[in-house]
Amino acid sequence: MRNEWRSNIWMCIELVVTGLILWVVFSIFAFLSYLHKPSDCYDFNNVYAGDLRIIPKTASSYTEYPDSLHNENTDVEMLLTKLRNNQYVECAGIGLNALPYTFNYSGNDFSVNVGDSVQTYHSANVRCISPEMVRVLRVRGIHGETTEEIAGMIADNKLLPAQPDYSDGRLDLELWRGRDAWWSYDSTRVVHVGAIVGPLRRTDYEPLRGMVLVNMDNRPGWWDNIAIRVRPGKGRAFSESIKPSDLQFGNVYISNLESMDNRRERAHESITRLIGTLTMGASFLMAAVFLGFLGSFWFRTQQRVPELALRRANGATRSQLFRRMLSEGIILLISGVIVILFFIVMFLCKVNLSETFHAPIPSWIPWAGFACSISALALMIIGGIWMPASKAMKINPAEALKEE
Amino acid sequence: MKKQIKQILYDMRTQPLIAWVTVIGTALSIFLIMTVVMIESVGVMSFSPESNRERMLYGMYVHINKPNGSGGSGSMSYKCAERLYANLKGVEAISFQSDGAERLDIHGTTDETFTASVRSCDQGFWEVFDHKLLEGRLFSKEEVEAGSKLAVVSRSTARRLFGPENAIGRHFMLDHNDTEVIGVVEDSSPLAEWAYGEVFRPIDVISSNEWGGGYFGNIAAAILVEDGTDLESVRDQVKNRYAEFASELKAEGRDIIYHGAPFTQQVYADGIPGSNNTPDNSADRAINVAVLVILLLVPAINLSSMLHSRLRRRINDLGVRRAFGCTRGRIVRDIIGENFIVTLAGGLIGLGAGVLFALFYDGVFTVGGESVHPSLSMLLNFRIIFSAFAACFILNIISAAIPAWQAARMNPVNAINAK
Repeated sequence: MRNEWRSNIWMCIELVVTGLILWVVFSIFAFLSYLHKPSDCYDFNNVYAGDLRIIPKTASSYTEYPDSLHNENTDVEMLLTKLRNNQYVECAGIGLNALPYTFNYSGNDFSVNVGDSVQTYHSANVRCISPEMVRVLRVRGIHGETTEEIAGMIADNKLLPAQPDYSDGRLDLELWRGRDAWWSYDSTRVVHVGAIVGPLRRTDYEPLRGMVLVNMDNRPGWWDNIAIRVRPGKGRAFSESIKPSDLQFGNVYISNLESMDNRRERAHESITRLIGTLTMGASFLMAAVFLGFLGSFWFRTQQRVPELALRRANGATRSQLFRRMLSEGIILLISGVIVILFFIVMFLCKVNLSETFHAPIPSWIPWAGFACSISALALMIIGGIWMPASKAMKINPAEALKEE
Repeated sequence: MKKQIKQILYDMRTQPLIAWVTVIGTALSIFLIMTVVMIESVGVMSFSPESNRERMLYGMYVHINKPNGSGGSGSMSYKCAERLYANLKGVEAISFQSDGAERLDIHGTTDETFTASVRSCDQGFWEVFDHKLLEGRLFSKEEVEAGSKLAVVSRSTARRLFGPENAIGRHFMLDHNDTEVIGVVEDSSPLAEWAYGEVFRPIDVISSNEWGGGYFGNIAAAILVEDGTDLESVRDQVKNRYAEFASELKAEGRDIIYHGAPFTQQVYADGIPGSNNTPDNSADRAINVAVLVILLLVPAINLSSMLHSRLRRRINDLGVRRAFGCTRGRIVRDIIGENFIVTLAGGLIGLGAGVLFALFYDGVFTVGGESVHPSLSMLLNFRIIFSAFAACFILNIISAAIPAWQAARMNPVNAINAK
């Protein structure tokens, strides 16, 4: 290794640069895995969702309502009835900002007197949900409350908060259950807290800052989502059976009806792209390490044929030669790891990741990334050296030393 | 050159593994570099119907505050957009249009009801962007001001609405409004984010979804600056209008905050961070540069190491050449030249792979969450091909300079005697 010191230094530098980048990449992967939390108090299988819209009054197909008893809400009721009569539909419901995988955020603060202090649930995403929508999404409480119980609480106009993923520790929602909460610090706007539900996130990767479920407002047009639960295995049949006329009643119509799976894919598109880009980059770096070690050690084997042949002639076994070649690569890796570790420790000492990224980042994430990056490098080094080392194993000492 | 190619072929025959490792390593690096370059280029280079992107400016948002810190920011109302951008000097054409295409339901004479990208715009839109009119006509200023229920549709949309029948003069339901087709234009790529649409309708100049005291709405301005006019002179005019607007708003107890509008194509492609922030993409640029440096440096280290090893095998022959009078400079040039040919070969493979990847792989280019594929003409242009050659050249210099210099410095006697 001393003879090849220049080449070894360059390979070490390459390992350090690659190792640090792989550390970042694998740490991001580990963090995304940690963040990935599908909403487990809900069931989105066999659910189709769409936007509920009103035909503008200026549109040529707008129909005037005959009297004040008829309005957009009555149209929605008729539309829901029509949908529920579809043979493939189990239930249908409406909401305002009630669905996941949309990027609406309508936040509000809620406060509760807890003993001697007032706890405030800051900036909770307010999701207005009808009891029927509760049944479509099969909402459950974290303490085992059933869907029907939750639907009943919503019908009773109770507030159902969800535990945030990231809080300062001063909020204890368990103390909220059964108490009255003020809406936006207004003591005249009081809601009773029911059960604690699971979080309904905007994406499966977003740490929840806060969310509450409340009942729908009765005002006409105060909704924007519709969700339909179809019978298991009947999704395709439902899609094929639906005609444009089935999606409209009066001045209300459904737009962009699609499965919840499609919505989820679209919501996660940027994350998927990020994962794809990072995977490509990491693969490129690992391929570069592999090719670099393959090329360098191939040459070294050729240059060291007389030395290796002498070792064989002096009694070294094939596997000893093989292990010798591999160990040179591992020594390079260990040298690189020490430098990588130094940089990582320096970085972590200076930067608080949770504060920087405004998200709960457990302390094991960077170390998981480190372990994965070193493992990947080790794999590439062993893979790259394998062929030259196998070639070294097969040297015939008599032939190799013939000209010596 | 012939000798260099002979040397390369000899090396490939005697050391095929190393030769292929070199070519593959180079190809991989150039492939990734070109993918990054292509993604960047498609955001700024001109292609139909945005054929004059180098002369374009975009006015997008307005940010109005009250002294107590409350206020709002968002897209402009039509009145606000006219106030800030109409009748500027040095402007060839201006389009007031919706800030993005809406996905709306449309239904024609076929059984299909589908959502289409609908662009609301004024008559200036057709002067700013060069859509190819296939049939019929485009809407006029009078029709825009009258709020006529007319539409120009793209060729593929016309086919979906009416089948093989002639679309001109036919009616369809656009967002539940009975609308007449007056023109058909050629399909355009969604990568032309300002010009793209499947249906084009006159913008509603009267209401335009106004809010916030009539200052906000859903209008943006696309400005085509006259050839030869400095973009900064147009921006200075807009800045002055912002200052005049600020004086008027002061009387209402409000303040308008200037965030650098209108923006060039480059700034728009880099990303506008919301309606209440001034674009500053220096961090993104630094990351892009860092990515390119890494994509060049890491394979360069490998290639340098392998070249160094290859040159050690040729040490005798280099010593003989030096003994016969070959200069150090000549040896360096020859080695770099040989390496450049190999790098170029790998680079061409990498460029080809990059183009195929961009053309066929989903997710390289996305607009509004949908995967979009560019055309071949967008990818094979001077900027991209020049970037590929430049990348090969830089990679060659980085990987070959030091080994070539070291080989040239060797004492000829030691070189000839070396084993």
